Amino acid sequence: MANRIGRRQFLAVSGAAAASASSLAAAKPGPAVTPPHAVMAEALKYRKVDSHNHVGAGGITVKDIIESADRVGIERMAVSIPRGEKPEEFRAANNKILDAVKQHPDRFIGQCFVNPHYPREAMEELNRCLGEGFIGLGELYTQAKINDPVFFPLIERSIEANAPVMMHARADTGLLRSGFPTEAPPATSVADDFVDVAKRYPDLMLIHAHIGGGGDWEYMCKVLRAHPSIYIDTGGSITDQGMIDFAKTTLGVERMLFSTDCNFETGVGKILAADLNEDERNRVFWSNYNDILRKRGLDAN
Amino acid sequence: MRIDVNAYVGHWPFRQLRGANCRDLVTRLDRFGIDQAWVGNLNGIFYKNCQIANEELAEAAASFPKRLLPWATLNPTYPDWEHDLDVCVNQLGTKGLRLYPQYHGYETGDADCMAIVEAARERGLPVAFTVRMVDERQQSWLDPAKRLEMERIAAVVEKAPDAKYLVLHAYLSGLASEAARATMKKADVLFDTVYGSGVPVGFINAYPLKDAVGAFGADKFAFGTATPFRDYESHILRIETFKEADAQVKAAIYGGNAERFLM
Repeated sequence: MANRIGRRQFLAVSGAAAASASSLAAAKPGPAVTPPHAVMAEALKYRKVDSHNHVGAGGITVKDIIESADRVGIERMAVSIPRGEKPEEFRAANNKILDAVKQHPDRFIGQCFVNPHYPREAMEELNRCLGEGFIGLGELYTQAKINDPVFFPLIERSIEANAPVMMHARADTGLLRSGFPTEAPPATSVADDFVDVAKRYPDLMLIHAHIGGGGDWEYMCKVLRAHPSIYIDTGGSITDQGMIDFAKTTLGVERMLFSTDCNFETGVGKILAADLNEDERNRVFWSNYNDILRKRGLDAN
Repeated sequence: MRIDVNAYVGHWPFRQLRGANCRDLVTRLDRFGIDQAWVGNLNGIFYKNCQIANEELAEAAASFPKRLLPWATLNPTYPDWEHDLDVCVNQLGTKGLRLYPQYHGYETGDADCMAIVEAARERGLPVAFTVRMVDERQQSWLDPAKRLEMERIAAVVEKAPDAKYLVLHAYLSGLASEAARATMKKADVLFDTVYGSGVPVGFINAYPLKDAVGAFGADKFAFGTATPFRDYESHILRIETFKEADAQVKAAIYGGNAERFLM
């Protein structure tokens, strides 16, 4: 009976965990009451550069993505098409991105996708994209893990060009433990693979894609914690309460880059919901990624 | 009136949930200008005898009448559930029934499932099915649940078309067959907006509301957040960015459809 009463009290009025949540709520910026229209106004208040998005494939048109970005107040988007196994295919994907950038230079920043299993062609394509003003490699996908030596020459070229490398990543239980299912290909990068690369190339600006992209974000953050050259982007469809706060306390705001990865409302909403002050919101939404752009000689401004 | 049709209190064993109690939930509703939440007790998923969780929830929610409407959780493979259902209706103020076949060891549409759906219908209670509690990619190695496919929920609706249904974490892209879509269109079904998207670009876990409303009608959708699993702001933005919806449609999604559903 004592246990039942205790559980009922827990449900009715919080214990320590809820006290913690209350203190977090109290620390949040903005008015005490934020009805729906005020949440929308809050979303539009901040300048935003999206460090990870896509256009031109999967039915995502230039028109639709700009309209979607406008509705949540995103000014600039780094975009890629992570598709194409053969050189002619990844060149075609990057050409589509180049077209989009040329159409809307004030909205899009190119990211260069390659398949590293074609070393010569991949290097030529990286150099071509850098010459066209792309920020760097991204979203690299599941052709090889990021710590596969086939990537090393491309990474070394990226360091030389002050260009970041952004790689798709997941932490499905099935990728981390045997005996559990996952739809992710075996060459999908996990956080541990990024750590290998960061140790080998401490000067590389390495971006672990979308902590909300599926998988165990607590695992991701804990593995990456002690490796400050690795950034995470906040994108992906997962918008778990506490995810961004955990990234902040584990990694630090300076390593967090705003992204949507095509999830516009949740991409912005999860940042607004997090325990970030005004300065921290601005850093995540804008200046952290813009600092990377500036190292490449670009500027979202 | 704004209503969140998908809220939880209680314990989730695989990750910390902040503010998973009635008082903090009401504080959250106040903060975002939401008048009411339909609440389930997560403990009902994990207790063998779910009825204890229903008693807990009724007692805790009683401090917030009209703000928190308790939805009971029952398992039709556990003894005496019909008696428990009567207690829920007659004594605990239950407004609906949440079923979790993926955790409670039966199949949607089997005899146990249909018996409790029918019993709920007889008592005037709507039945809620939840497609999944968490994205499979982040599911704990201790969590046994498989996704409850939308087509299987539609099969239950086909078998008992006169009952009322609430589909939580509704995954509209999972309604692939025309037959299943037709079944859902005809029935008294509400889909929550946890995976709905107000912007034109749809993606994994985000179906464009414009298309969904076009296909099923605006009266089929109700604002939901899955709080405290998910943040509140994202789910408000899903509705606020839905510019194709006029004020009347938005009001229906925010609360009008839910109010009508419980009448």
